[in-house]
Amino acid sequence: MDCSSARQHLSAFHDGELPPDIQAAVSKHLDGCPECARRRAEFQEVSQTAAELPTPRVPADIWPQIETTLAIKVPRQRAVLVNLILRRRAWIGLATAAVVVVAASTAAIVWLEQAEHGHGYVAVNFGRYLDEFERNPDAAQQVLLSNYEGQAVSYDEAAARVRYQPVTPERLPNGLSRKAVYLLRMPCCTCVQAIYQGTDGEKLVVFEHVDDQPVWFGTRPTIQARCNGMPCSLVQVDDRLAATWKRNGRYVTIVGADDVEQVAGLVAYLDRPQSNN
Amino acid sequence: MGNTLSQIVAACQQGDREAQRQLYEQCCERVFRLVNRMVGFQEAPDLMQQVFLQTFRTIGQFSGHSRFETWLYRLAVNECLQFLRQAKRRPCEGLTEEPADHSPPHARRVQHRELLDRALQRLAPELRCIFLLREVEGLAYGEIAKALEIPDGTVGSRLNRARAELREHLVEFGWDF
Repeated sequence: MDCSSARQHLSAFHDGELPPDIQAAVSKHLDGCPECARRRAEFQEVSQTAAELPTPRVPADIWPQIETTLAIKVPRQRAVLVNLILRRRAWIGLATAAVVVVAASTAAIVWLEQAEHGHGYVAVNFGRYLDEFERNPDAAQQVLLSNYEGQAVSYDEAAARVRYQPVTPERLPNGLSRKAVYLLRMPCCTCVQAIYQGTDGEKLVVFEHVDDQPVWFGTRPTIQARCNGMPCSLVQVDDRLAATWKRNGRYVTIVGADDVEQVAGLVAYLDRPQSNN
Repeated sequence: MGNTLSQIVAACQQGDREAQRQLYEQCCERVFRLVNRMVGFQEAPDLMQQVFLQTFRTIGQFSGHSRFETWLYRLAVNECLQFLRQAKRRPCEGLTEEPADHSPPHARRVQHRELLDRALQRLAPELRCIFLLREVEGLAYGEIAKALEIPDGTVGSRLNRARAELREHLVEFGWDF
């Protein structure tokens, strides 16, 4: 083994994570190479120092705050809704956005309780998707793919399968580029899903489906508003928004918008005649 | 005799409040240690709250296929990376406000710890977390792969890169290798 190979393996050698034969080969090289042996000694010195890094004291007030938040779970949901309405200056700027109905929560709960199994599972799965989306969009995507026989397809293939032109252009405003298109076999219908990514790495997902799917948002507080003149249902997903509206007889749902302004911009953009893929 | 971690986790999955407190007490130190070095002392308490609230919200999804600690580290790392990505900022305060080092004075070692803390803040968050999971939290490569949701083979190469970059920063700061 030469120095170049040894250096490649040195980190894993230091951690004892190499297969025995490679571990032995690196060890043999180190015996005869002072320079690589010195580099390994540096690893040891840094490791020893890392192990001695002081453990910070956990502030005593963290748990009481967590406990309080857990205890006021329901009021907190209302607070999120109020926050959604108040904190977005865009609401004012988008004067056309008239908030007409607040919180379909109760209806949604009843709906969920009465829902058939298929739809109940959709609520659970889509709820998991939304929960996971903000933290890890890729892991969230796996929830959908594994539950709905998700299949990566080209735009043309998607159009042929659903027999309409999906509203998923290659590019969206704010530098969003389409990275993938999937077909999801959901209880309602075959749903087209397009994943977009911005230059900052943030993701936005567009679904198109034939039937309205209020169950997707489960019991999350929902508001009805007009975005660019179009009636939309909006829910907050951590710091992002999800929204759904009707377009050309089908429904478009987006997940991952930054704010209401972006939702309104997307409603307007997707409402234009599409040159598509 | 106290409950084992798996018993506590099972109780948390049933929504048991006392179990939630026990889980926090068992895990808060290691999570805070990681979060603190990922986002800095000022932001760490808020992130800690987020991590544990998220833990209790999603603990029903923990399947037991990996160690609970690994699952928890994954949540913590995700929260930290998301915070850093959104805030577009890196912690630069280090741990200057943290007076927890009571070891006997030994100038060179103390200096090295300070240099290492500074150099860690220079690493990209993805490299910093992998170094911390290995060197401070003591996770094996397989556990790190699960915690970061990356292939096993990527752990070694990324850790190698983290150490190489760390060495450059340490030399720049005056570490006398």
